[in-house]
Amino acid sequence: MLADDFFRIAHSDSTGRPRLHTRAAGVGLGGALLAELVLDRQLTIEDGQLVVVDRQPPDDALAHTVLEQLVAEPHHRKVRTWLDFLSRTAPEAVGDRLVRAGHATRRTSRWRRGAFFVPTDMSAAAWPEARLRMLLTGRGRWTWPDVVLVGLVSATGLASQVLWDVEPATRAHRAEVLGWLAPDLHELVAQTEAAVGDAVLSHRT
Amino acid sequence: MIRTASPVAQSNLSRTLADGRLGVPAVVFFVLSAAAPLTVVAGVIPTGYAVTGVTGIPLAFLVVAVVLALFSVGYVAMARHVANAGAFYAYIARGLGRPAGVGAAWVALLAYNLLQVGLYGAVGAAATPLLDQWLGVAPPWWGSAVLAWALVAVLGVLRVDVNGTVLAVLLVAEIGVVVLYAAANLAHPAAGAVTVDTLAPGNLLVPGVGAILALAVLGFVGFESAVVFSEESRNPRRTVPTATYLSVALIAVMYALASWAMTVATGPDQVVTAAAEQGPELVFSLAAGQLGQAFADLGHALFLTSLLAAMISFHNTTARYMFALGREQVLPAALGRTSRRTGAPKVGSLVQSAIGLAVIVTYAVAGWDPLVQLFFWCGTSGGIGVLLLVATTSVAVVAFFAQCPAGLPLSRRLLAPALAAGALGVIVTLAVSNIDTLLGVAPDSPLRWVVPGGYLAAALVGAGWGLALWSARPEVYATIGLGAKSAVLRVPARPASPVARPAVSR
Repeated sequence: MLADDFFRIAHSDSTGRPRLHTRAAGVGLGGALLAELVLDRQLTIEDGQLVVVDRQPPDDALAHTVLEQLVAEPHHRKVRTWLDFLSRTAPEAVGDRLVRAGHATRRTSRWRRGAFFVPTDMSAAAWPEARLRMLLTGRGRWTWPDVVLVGLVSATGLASQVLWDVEPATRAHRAEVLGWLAPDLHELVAQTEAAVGDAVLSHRT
Repeated sequence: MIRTASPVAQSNLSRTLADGRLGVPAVVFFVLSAAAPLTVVAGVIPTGYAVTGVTGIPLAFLVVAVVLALFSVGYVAMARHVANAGAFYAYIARGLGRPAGVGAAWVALLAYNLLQVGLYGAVGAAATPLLDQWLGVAPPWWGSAVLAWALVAVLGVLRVDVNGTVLAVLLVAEIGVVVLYAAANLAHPAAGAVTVDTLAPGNLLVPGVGAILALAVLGFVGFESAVVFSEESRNPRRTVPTATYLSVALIAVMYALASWAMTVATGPDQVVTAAAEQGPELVFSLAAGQLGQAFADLGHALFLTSLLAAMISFHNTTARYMFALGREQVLPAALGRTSRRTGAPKVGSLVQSAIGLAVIVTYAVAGWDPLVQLFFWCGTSGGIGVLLLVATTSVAVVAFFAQCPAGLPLSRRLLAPALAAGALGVIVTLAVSNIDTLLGVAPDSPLRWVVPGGYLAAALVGAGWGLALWSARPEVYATIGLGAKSAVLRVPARPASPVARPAVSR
């Protein structure tokens, strides 16, 4: 799942500690949850507004919850509002989804607020990042979730983690890949980038 | 318990988003911590008396407060229509056109940089005697300045706006000391009785009036930042305007009181001489005589933390300016990068630190005076830059609401902004013509042309850059003034042919 992959790139594969500041990680995960629904053609985006196109309950429990929330609050349609809302709940929700699938164990620490999630299998946790590097260096076959993942990773400032030592050609390839995105997904990625940037400007990172 | 049954009140989303939203006190705290009261009261005001020789400073604070309050009416109304609401250039781009906006952005970068680097002079001059007293080592001023610089550089990248609680405690302590000192000054008048001589309007009808008005504007820098929190406040329509007016009023009362009380304690005719002899020490030596050495020592320590807080605040403001311009790609896009772990505008912060170090080294090598030539000259020049920005923004507000009245009453969209623009125009004219008094140089000194000339050059080069973007990179030009939201408007460069699109499974 897209949000699981983003979560794994945004956290250490061994300790589960965050690699990205809280606000950007939250917004990125919120964007990823919305993108899952867009990729499944249950949701689309027009002019900064979310439009539910298919109310059938998704198979995944978390996607189901998100869609239910969207349907229950029809007077809130702005992508930005939902990114802000989901940014608060998404980190725990996606972490719990990884726990349910057996990919992580939930821990709490007396020193930090909230739970953190330690991967059960380090190589599985490291895979999304490795896969993106391979794809961006021209190996492997792109899937749409991976294209969106590259977008969200770039929008949240995580690209420096994934692409820290690559050739300029890879960066150029990334720009080309992002150009493939359909308008609704492109807008979602752009809104994510704007939300992260605004958090910096209003001292809320 | 009866609950109101409106759907919005019950909305899970609204309730969650309302959590952690800022109220008026939080926003006022933020604004005042940037204003750093003791920096102004102990640093700017005595140096101002000494350099300008004009005693109308308390009145100047009150006059400027009225003008800025008037300005704020249109400013906060327009803020709701501006994407990057914390930055004057965004208003100017919206109201007066994008090339003017880029010119204003250049002016703002210059002005905030001057404000920031000037503080290194003050911290150097203030810390050295304290280090001598506490540790028995007396480094040269630039040694202390480099220490402070290193601290600010590290905190800037770690994006510790310094812990909110620490900042709040220090701020409350600073305000307490300012008020206490003022009360002690008033209880020990030089002539035996409290005089209100310096509050007579005649003090403003003197040749150097432009200088002290510009100086007063310097004290208010930071009042513009409340609007940054529009999207984070409980009630954008009330919280931000209330916090802005309240901040302006609090700053005005505090500084007018402190600067007037100083003249009462020294005697109105002696304040200029005393300030010239003692500089920032004036405030503390008065307190030592009236309240005892312990209170003077406390003030000294808080002066230092106040300077550090001001430095961190201006450092972050400038780095964020560069960040926004980097995100718009008006400046190199690298400036729009942030630190992954902390979200600090890393590249902007590092550039800012490099500039600061270069200035400290230049002043140290040239042997220039840290207090007058670095702190006061750069600080007041920066203040003039902010004054120019405020004045231009006031015109932009009038122009904006002329194009788009947005259902506001005439008083808010035209009368108040136009009055503010007129008053600010007068202040700018006076300030620029009295610049020699403000800097304390001879009327024929080339410096009097360097400051306005520098801003003019920055504005023209910036506007030229804006026009160049218009012809060469229209997609960047279209997002000028949008800050981080420019990402949404930028049209992706789609691959030329859909055939090139590889088979991607969905």
